[in-house]
Amino acid sequence: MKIFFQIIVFFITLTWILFIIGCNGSSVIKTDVVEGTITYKGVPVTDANISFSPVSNGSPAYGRTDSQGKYKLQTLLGAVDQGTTQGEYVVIINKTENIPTGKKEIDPDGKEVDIMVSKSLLPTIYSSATTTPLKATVISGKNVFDFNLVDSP
Amino acid sequence: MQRCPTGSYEPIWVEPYIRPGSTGTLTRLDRVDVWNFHTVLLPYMEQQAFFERLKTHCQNAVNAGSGYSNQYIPDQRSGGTAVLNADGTTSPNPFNTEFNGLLCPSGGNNRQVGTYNSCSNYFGCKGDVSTPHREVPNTGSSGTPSTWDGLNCRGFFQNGRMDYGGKKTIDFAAITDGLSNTVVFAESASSNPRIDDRNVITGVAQDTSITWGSTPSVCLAFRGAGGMLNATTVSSWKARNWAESRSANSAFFTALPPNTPTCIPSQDDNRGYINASSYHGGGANTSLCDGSVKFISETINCGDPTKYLGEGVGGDSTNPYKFSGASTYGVWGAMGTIGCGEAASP
Repeated sequence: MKIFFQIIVFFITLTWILFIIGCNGSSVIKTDVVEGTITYKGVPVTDANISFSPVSNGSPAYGRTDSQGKYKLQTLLGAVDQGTTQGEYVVIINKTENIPTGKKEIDPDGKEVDIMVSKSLLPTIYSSATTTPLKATVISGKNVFDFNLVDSP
Repeated sequence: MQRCPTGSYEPIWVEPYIRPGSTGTLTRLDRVDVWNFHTVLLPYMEQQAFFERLKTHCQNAVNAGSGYSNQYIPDQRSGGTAVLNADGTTSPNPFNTEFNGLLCPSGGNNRQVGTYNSCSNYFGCKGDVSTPHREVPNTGSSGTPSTWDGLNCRGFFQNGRMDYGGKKTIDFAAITDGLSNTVVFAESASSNPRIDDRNVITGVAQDTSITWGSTPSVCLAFRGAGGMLNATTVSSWKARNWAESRSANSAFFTALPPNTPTCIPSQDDNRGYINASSYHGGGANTSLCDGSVKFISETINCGDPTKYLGEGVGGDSTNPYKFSGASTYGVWGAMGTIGCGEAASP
């Protein structure tokens, strides 16, 4: 009877340990928080996309600005809003909107719809890893990077 | 299966349909051009009778004017009410039929709901990144045919447009990356149209920041706390209509791993990042061109999502169909392409 209870206790403990491990979240990599504000000519930019593309080490990370122009980075394998791994990055920032070309087409339901074209609302120099002048080095602890975009950096 | 119907430009639907209509020559392949690969696979899933019904209707199509016809539409939002026949009578929309074989047993319960047509949880791979039908900005579908060559190396079910007389479909010989290295189908959980579906697995972020040249990271940034999409607008369009070829209904891309956010710019758009997804923990099942089934983990190597297709090595973010080089998106991206010269295996 005693051995029976020992087995029961063992399995309960095992279940509990597995539960705690399982609850540890989806984070596979160790990240450091990266956040900041994006401004264009001094005005905070809403709904802009920011990406950190690794130059050496590092994990590709990305975020999106809120109504105050603030962003928090996250990675594919890290937890939400918990930043990225340490390393050097180039920083890509873009914001686009769709505008009508003036041309129309008929959709499969028979409705006439506008043919849209995408337009960048920020200087395009920031929108590609090969042209952006922005760089950042993520270190241990909390990282704050504020970017002020200008027309001709 | 001798041919791989690219989207729905399959000759069996399109050829009988290109003929003069009552209001002149019909050049636009309306309504049949949105039928997807499931429609031509029906005879292989013991639905020959259903297939014949579609075929007969297709052959009896009439031109309803304004460049479109009286064809059945897979996404008819009125709940599949009557469709006009050639003789003036009406018949119910066959695309309301639900096939159990197209539903994943663990795909959730978001099936035929309200005014939406029946679902399919099995998506066709259109490549690693969505590529346009034609030059962007295009010349309008009722006008000039595409300059798109339709034979580049991206997905098995890449977008295509029937060129009258020209070959715009692909066959198995086109899969030069190897049949066992190329993914053809994957699971995708369907959205729940009853609610504002913000679940990363089933929901779709709808945002105009998704366009040609948007990096996958733009879409990934919509992942919010607790596995919920933090986009302003969400769509319940994923896996919605089993016979509809437009991307979020029955196609997926391999730029992003399973169970990551799905994003489209608007409901009827072929652009976007639509990913494999399922309620199976940690990934989704896929089938490869050699007929085998593989479970793909959420942590599969996906390259660098902060780069657009071919960035730095000759890619063109405005006209991505012009790039035929190796995928930018790691092992999973390589598996999504049919002949880009990367023989990566899962």
